[in-house]
Amino acid sequence: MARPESKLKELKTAELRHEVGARSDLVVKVNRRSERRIIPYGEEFLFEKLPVGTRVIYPPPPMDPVADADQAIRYALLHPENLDPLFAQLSPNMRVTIAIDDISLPLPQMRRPDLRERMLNQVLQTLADYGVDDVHLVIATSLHRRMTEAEIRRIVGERAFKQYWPDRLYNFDAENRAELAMLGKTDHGEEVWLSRRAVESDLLIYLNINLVPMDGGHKSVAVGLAPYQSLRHHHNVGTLRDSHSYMDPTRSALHRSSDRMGKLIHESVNIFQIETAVNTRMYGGMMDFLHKNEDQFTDWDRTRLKGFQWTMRNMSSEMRRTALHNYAAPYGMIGVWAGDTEAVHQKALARVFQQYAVPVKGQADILIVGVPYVCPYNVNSIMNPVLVQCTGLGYLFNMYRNKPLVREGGTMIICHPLRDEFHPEHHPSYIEFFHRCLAETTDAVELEKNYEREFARNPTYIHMYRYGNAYHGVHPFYMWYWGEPARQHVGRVIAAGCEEPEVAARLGWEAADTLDEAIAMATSDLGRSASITYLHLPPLVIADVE
Amino acid sequence: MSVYTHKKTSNSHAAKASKRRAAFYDLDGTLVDLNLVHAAIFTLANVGEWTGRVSYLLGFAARIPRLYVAEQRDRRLLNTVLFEAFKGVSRDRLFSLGEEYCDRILIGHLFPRAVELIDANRAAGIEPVLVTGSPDFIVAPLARHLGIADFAANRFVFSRGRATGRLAEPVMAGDEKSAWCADYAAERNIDLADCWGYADSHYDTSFLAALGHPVAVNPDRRLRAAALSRQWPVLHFEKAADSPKLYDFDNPNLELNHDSEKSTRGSDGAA
Repeated sequence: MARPESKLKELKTAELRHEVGARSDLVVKVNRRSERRIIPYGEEFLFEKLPVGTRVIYPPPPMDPVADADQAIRYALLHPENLDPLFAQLSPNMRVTIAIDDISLPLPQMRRPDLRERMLNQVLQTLADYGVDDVHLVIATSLHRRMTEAEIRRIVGERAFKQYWPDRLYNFDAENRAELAMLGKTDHGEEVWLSRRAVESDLLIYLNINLVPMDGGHKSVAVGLAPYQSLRHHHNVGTLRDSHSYMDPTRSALHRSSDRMGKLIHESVNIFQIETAVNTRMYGGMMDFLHKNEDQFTDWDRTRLKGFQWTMRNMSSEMRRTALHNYAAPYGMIGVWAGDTEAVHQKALARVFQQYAVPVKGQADILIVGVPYVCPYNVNSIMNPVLVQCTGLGYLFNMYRNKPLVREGGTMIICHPLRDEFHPEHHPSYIEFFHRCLAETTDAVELEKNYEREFARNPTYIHMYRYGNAYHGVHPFYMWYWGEPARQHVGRVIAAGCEEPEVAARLGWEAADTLDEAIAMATSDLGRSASITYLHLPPLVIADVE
Repeated sequence: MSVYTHKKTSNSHAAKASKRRAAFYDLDGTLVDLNLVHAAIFTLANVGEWTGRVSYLLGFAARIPRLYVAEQRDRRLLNTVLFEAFKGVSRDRLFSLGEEYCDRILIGHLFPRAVELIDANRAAGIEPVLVTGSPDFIVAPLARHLGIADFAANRFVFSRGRATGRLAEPVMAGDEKSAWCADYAAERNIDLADCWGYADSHYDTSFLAALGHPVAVNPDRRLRAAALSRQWPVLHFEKAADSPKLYDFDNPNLELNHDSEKSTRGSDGAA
């Protein structure tokens, strides 16, 4: 019955080529002979010459994954942090709930078998070995859209799907009041609500994937299985303005709030957290040139880039979107830990920073970022303008520790076509938010005060969230608040390559037809000596700014 | 007039109302998974003795090619052709058959989630109104069942107590629906921009476009295309409800306390 514990050895990841502090080769200055740079631009990639002197920050190369992910997971279950091994916590008549990260992670979706499937198979086998029958699998969607049957099947795998769908494998429903329980209030007065099934379980097992340091920890349960009543305490303007940055949990009020909630949850819920970290291998095979420094491009790399650009340009937008969202990344697992939430998360965080962090000296006057075709909230969907705002100002601006990459009052250039298009089944409330609320004000405080509650309680949006595949009515507000620290910090935002200037204007941004024009607009204010930094994606990078 | 109002609101009262909202619902295909033709066949098949039934049904069958063409072209024409088949049926018989059809068939074909949404909207202060091309003798009992005070439906012209086969103006289809909604809203001092509309057919595009919050429900191909291009939310109702009714807006214990909500906002979630 018990796992062959003694035979299992901890699998270590290979060492990085360089330690974090020695990654100076990942920060490159553009000179006259430099190659053009690849810049994500919605469903396409630009290949643009950047001004001489521009600093380009590259993501670290992918760490080698653990040799045998299944064995590593098994080892983690048997050697958890600060808790008894999973099998030792089980007894036949107990009630167990397994909560699983939803489709927002990782991005793009990973090749099968998904890490969640691997973890789930190990956990379910252990539960079966110890006679635990009362098991429910809950996709921790919080206020995200319900995942479709096919999407769930893809992440949990055939075995779990066949055995549990649909009665014991389902999406969390934050509007099913009968299935929610209030656990109390934190010492800051934050109401803590949670899935009743999770609260009433003898054991809650959370299966997580850490793509960036913002993920995981107490946030997994306290957000993933919580309704609006809880989320409003940290997904609000005040808290997000006090988060510097989202990628640095030690300086994020958002994380402090979810930590307080998580601790309160831990008082009444027995949680066994399993966290994994993945490397930066976002693109492989024919697409692996996207990971390279363009100065080292071969003719074959240039040919592939041109071929990719030509293909994307000549596809219909629907085909292009389908092709891109069907792409699965060859991510490798670089670590897995199980046990007590805080101990596990500390280890996961250390590994994630080891993978993503790049030391950078000083801030720039102008920060250039490219918004790609996907963000956590438009998987198999459309990247609408509110999500472009969230990705640019919310996520990419926050890819730092210590100080933002752009100085206070500086300019952010966001490359994206910015079209007025929305998915009517996934983002219905976004449409009204964009056309009605943002038309009146872009002030997050005003939006929060005047409209948030109306959208959160709108019956049609609640209906579409519960029974359709729509994000909750309040979700576009959170996306807007997400960009609030950046809006408070930068002086100007210019949308480069903007096809619909009125969309940029609605977001409070300026529009430029090309990147060159955007740079000229930015330098007209700041002078030709203005320093420019380009945060090179894909994959992802976190700048440790001195 | 084809407008029925069980509870007329006086102008003075309407003027006092500061911000009223309404939700206009189409019926066939939107709230129920049946269409007008089904109701017509049921009525004609039960209209009298068996000889009469055969005669009416044969008359209806003879109209099928015209109905098909009308369906392809114009919803108003479809209604006109369809209701010609009722010529000669007594008013009393129609209304009793309408009650029977509603009780025996229509209520069982309501989308459970649609009823839930009507209730939730009502609880949120959005008053329901039916705007449909179905005949009034079927819509009236259904509206009663749903607790909907106001509706607009098609109405026969009667002569000496018998249907003439003609419809009273305005015929509820296409633009007439939006015109009716505009009149209804103006009468009650409601801003159409604050109103919701739910419909399933591309013939309802103008009706939906007149409202501030149009929603395409189980849309046909052409309405779906219109919804996509106009950025209207798309909603799907299914026949079977797989979970109990769970909206609970009336339960004060579950609702948020707005004051406490404010007090916990701010940096770090602190007051």
